[in-house]
Amino acid sequence: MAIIVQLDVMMAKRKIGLMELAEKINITPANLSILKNNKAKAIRFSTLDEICKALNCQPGDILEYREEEDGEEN
Amino acid sequence: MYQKSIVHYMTKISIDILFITAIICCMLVPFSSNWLYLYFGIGDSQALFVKIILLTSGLTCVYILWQLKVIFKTLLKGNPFIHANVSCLRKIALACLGIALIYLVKMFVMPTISTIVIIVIFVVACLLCLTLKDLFKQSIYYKDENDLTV
Repeated sequence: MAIIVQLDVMMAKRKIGLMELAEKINITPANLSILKNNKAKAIRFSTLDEICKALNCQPGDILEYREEEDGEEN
Repeated sequence: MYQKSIVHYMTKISIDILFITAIICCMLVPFSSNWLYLYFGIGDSQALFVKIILLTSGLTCVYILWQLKVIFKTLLKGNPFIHANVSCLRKIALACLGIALIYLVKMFVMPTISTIVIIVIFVVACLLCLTLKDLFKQSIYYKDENDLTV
């Protein structure tokens, strides 16, 4: 997918673990893991809002657009 | 969120009873000469043909019921929207078409109104199963989308 989730980078910068963040934003660690590992197909604005609030960052710090090369899957 | 309903359990029990009954009926078909003569007036010359028709269609029905049991097992577990069920519905549709073809053969040899009714019912059942298969496929797509939306 052309949109890359860089949640792990932001989490490392803020020195926060997956379980702690999941608890803070009130979603399951499994779902947060899906997001962190770029497996998610979509993200709700409410989730993004919570993540930005918890990590004190902008959506652009978490999401990045990279142009896909031809023939690249997903 | 899946909610368990008494209707699902009742249907499951009905399918189980039908499955066992169908197996017993299939096992009794080879010994049904007297019954065929007594109630339908089918003599020895046609008995073999009728027995073959009854046995093949009966076994196909058992297969359909088996596939329905598989679908209901997943439904009662709370996750019916899986690719295995799409495959089950495709198999059921093929089996329904098979029964329709079996009775189409019978219609050329022993044409009756009930045979025509059976053919029509199973062709419609085949088409319904194929439609249901496509609905399940679409549902799986939506479920995957929803599951991967965080």
